[in-house]
Amino acid sequence: MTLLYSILTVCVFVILLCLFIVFSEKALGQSGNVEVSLNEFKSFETKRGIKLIQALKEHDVFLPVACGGKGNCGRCKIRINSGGGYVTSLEKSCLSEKEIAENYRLACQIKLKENISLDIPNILLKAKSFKAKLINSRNLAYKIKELVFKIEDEVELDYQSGQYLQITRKLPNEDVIRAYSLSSSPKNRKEFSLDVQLVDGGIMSNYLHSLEIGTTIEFCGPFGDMSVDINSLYSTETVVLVAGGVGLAPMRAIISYLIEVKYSGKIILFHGVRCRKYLYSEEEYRNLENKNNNFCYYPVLSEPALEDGWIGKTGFVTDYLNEWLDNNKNDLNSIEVFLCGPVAMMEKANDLIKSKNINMESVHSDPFSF
Amino acid sequence: MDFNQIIFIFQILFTAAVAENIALYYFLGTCPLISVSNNLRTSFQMGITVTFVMLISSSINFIVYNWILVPLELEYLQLLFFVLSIAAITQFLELFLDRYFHEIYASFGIFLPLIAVNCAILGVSLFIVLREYDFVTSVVYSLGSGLGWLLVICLIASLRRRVDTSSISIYLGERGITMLIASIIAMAFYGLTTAMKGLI
Repeated sequence: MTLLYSILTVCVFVILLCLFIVFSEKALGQSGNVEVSLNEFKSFETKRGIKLIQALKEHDVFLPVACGGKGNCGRCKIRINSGGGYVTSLEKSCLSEKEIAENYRLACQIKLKENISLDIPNILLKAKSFKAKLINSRNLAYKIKELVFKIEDEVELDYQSGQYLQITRKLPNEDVIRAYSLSSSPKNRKEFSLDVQLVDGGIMSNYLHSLEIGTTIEFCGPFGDMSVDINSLYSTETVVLVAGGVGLAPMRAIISYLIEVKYSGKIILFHGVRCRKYLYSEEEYRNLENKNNNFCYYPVLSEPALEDGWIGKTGFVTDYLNEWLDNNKNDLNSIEVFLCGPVAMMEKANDLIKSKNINMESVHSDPFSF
Repeated sequence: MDFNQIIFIFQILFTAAVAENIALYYFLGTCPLISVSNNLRTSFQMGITVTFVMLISSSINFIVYNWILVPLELEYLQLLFFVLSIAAITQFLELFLDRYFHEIYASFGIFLPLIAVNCAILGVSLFIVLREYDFVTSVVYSLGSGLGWLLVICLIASLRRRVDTSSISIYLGERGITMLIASIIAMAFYGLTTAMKGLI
């Protein structure tokens, strides 16, 4: 009897608390609409209380979210003209004080409570969501595959070499979002390729490596500030590309693009990997170096294995970059540097470039982490 | 309220905040203490949030205990009822702050939902029942406990800034050294307990 009595009391208490929460949600929750204006020419109405990034997505404006909207990656950074509410503590840890003072916010952290007006860079307005079919998959190196996709429907992918795409894999508990650099030249707008390295326990890379030819998956993009356009390279005499491991992917896109548009300046490629089994496209670039006087290729192994029989450069790629920069001191005003690789390599390379007094505006980077 | 009562209330506040600190004397709420204390600013925010929720939840739990559980003679269900009401309170607070005090909500951020699983808050509600405090004393006690927790997390966060620039054995790691820091501060606080006993 006592047992029944206590169970009944607990149930009544739980029901009361639930009712309390439901009513307070009704009374305190958000209702009505707010207006979102983009770049002062486009505007739309949306439900009050939802996240800005969600509202933008519903109206076909896609912002990059490498972390899945948790506020860790800082890629959905945008500039707010008015509205947006208070800066959250998460944003304060992710953005610099200067950025906060200039009204930069993270779109994944803004809850729409009032009319909001914001600026989105034009390059991001090109991003869209589309489906593509895997048509080819080949091994490039140990645990690295090149996946070639063909875009379905009438969509064309308008991107610049050096940019990346986002892939979302829907799992029961969460959506896993990963970014992969496009490694093909932007000339072909119906097909593109990605270089994917298999990471131990990596949810997305294991999925992509086991993908069967003919499977269709959903992409979102293109994104990324690191992009090359021939019109912006008219005063540049040398393009320096520094890649670490699978960070070669955007560099492959940049090189094939520059070769296609018959860029007249020099192209210098540094590619650092651990040992030879991770080195890919070596033959292609050695041939290109022989054919094309303007192209220089420096593969560097940090820990060459005995069986590699490596007689080339060993050590860190940044040491050779340093050496090259010292040898070409007089040309540093007209170079453009592109960096893509693991965070540690990027930091080292960035420090090195700063110490050489190279204009930081001509340095473009895209760090990645697994 | 006479002079003795004021002294008693002050004593409760001091004991809860320092001498019998909830984090270092009872070692409650250790999980957020160790995981959040890597940054002084977030530690301070977490501490303030804990104090705030502790104050509100223990007052409501006092009412739940004395107005619901005691008349129904169901005191043995206090743990279940307290957990449920703390969860409901944090949920309500989140909605309420989001609507009316957005600035506070923005600064609490992710910490508010984390509070629901902070056992220091449950511990305070249970201690109040155990020690048979009246309403005013229980409010003072929960305020003191919250402030004490805030003090400890800020102390640890300030000390952990030194850890970044020191060479620490890799076998100890970041978490290990934090536990050691917490134990050393606990010893210092324990000294205050004896001092308090001398005073009384």
